[in-house]
Amino acid sequence: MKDVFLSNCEKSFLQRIVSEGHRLDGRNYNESRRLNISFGSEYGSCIVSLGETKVLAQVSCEVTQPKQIRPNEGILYINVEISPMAAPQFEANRQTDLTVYLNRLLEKCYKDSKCIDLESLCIVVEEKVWSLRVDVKILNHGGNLIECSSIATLTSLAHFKRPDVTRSGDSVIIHTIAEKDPIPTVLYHYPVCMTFAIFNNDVLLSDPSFIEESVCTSSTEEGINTGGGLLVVGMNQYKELCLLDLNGAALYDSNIVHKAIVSAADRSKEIVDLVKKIIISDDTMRQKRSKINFADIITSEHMLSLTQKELTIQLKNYNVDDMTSKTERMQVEDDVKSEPSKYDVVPSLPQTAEIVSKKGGSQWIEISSDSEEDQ
Amino acid sequence: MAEIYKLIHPLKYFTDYISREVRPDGRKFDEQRNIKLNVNSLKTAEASAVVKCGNTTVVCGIQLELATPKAEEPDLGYLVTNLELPALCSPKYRPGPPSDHAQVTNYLVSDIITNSKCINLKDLCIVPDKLAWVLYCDIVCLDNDGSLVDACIIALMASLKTLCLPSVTYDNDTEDIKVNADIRTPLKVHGLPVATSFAVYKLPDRNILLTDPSAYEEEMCGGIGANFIVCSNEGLLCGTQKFGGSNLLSDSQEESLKISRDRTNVVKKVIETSIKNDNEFVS
Amino acid sequence: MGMEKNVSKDFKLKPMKCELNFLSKSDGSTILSQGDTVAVVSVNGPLDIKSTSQSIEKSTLEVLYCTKGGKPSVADRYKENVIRQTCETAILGSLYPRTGITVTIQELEDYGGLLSCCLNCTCLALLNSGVSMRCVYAAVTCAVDESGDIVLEPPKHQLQTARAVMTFVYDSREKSLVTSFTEGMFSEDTYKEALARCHAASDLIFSFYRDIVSKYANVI
Repeated sequence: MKDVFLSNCEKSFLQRIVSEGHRLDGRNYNESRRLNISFGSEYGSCIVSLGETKVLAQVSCEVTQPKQIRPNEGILYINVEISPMAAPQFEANRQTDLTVYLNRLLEKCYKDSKCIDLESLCIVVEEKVWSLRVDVKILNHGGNLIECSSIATLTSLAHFKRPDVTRSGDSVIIHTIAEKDPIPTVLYHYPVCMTFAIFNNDVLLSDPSFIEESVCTSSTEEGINTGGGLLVVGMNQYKELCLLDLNGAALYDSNIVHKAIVSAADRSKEIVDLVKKIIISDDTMRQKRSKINFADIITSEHMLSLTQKELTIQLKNYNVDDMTSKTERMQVEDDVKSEPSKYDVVPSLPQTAEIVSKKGGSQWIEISSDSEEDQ
Repeated sequence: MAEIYKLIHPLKYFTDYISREVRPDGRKFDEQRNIKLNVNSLKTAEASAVVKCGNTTVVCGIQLELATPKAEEPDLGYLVTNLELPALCSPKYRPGPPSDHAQVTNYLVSDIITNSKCINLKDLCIVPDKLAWVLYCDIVCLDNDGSLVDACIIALMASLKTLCLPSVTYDNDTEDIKVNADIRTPLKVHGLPVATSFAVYKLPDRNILLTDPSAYEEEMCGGIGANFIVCSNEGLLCGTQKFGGSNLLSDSQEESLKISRDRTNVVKKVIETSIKNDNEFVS
Repeated sequence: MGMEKNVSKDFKLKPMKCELNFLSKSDGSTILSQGDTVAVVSVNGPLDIKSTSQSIEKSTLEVLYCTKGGKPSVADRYKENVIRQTCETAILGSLYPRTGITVTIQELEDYGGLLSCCLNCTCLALLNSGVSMRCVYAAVTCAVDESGDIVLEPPKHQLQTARAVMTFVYDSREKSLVTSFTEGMFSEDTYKEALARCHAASDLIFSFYRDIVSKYANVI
């Protein structure tokens, strides 16, 4: 399906209310949507929802050979997928510009910022290292994918625990989780990407929704850009800048970047604190052996949800004894009936055998079209 | 005249036949097509077979290779099936990478072989953790006229039954491998799984089961892949598959199980006769 | 008597939980959990698709199965095929010629019976999307354990030791078999018994469907 286009009236309406100091969903300029993080049963799997935007992240690990230039470092691999589930305009199994852009931003934010201690992932130098793979799947595209998927990546990396290994001589034994407690990944710092939508070169909206994102990057009907754009700021909890990316119009006022960074500093602290808190509470839950599962996402107070406890079936007209006796009888009948096979097995040419139907030519049935017309 | 009728009223043409208790190619509902089987047909493969079920023609060749077993399963060998549906076998396929249908059928075939446990992968291991046989079973369809899975299984099983593994000596210290191609032992095959396809056609008042359907019949009964496939090995069922298409009532199931039992015996006889014939030919 | 007691214990389905309209951007979406197994399905359609895959007779159904991590494999193609064939019988595709319906399935947790959970979830998502359907369907998985007993909706550890695993999908109108697939070896009698049991169990899933629909139908 082709991209969804915004109508001019939608566009101008949004621009007008933004210039008057409002937002479509009633938020303040620097207010973000509700952030919600839930974990799956495995380590390193989480669903992050930011308003309506939902992202699933899953970290998996395997033992591989290290790269030749970095023989003592593990490998981090990030893969973003946007399926038609995110929004109807995306096609299955096809990379869009958005996928590539998102992937690159996350790589910049988590690989190039060196937030993960890759050396601790090394098992045997030049031979065996852990390779971490983060799979980010966009479930619902409600705007600000960058911030949402970045929080998902961060949370799943911080939550992930890899199995413990012991080296004995040449061989490496990988312990299962039941055998030995798994090891958490070491993160030096927690970077998060935040998105700001810029309107008219002076208004900053944090956490833009889908429609705000599309309006601020689009141009007016005359083809003149309105001085809008998307600014991505990557920052860790120590207020250190890791990434800066501008999409859209050229900015003539550099103060706006400064303003964005100041507001990102507060927000990043908030997010990282939340992520840390939620991981600790999840850990204590797990230690108490309570079950954590994605099924917990389904809340029963929702109008369109339904829960049913264990369902039991009443046995009606059903008896196992009945069943078997019936089939036994059937088999007896079969034995009696067992007629000679209708087919002959004929050894013909060398190495060849054939099944030929015993009955000769089959009867022809004439379907005359005349009779059809008569009807 | 009939050709035009078929073109104009494809559905009515077909129901006219079915309501007269006969199929468009003159067969009865429970009648299968003639099978021709030839074993050891390819001289380049270690074991091979060509089978013709009606017009459906399938070639299977097995190549042998040595490899180290997986670390997780050090005492198992490998059996890899690969099904090719080239563009020449049916106008439905395009040249290029394997289609979804080829992948799914291949999965079905290898699933039947694993589920029937007719090959114990431990028999393919030579030295645990060091050396094992890999059986590359390449199945190529030359003409797809329905009931593809049945034909694939017959070709594959006939090839496996004739396969003889060369003896291998492995030196633990020097890691030296010696293959003696003159001394061969036949591969142990437990039982003989046979698949039977049925197309389910729905008349207003009842279900019709068409045994061993042709491609045209498959098309009329819900398209490719809607067949009901029953697979049995030594009296035990090792797979019943049905994906969508018309619904199947329980009494037709009984019927299908009975037909498949009969067919299993016949097909078994064909494979055995063919191999016996081959042995006589060689000696 | 003892026999009967044993049987009735087996006749238990795992607790089911679901939420419709889980995703805002899709035409229909559902998250469904059966026990610990969870899947999300989104349905989009009927929508415009490229002309090469259009059909003049009925809408083209595209099914995409996404695993949680890792690369797509042949087994995923197989699952896609199972789900596509089953949906195709359920959807009245001839009402939407030259269009496409996209079904995307995302697995979230696999503790046994994932494919039947995906199938049920797909059915709910189709209901939610408002696509016209001929019937609804319900999938039930059962396993034959080492002693030959049939267990409905087996947990994961039981699946690994099971002699055979069978999944049956029944339609709501004739209560007859739409789809079936099995793993492992089993006798004909076991097969028939499993069929009968899953048939009985499918009624429960249909009543679950009915409950959820009647719950929200009152409000809308």
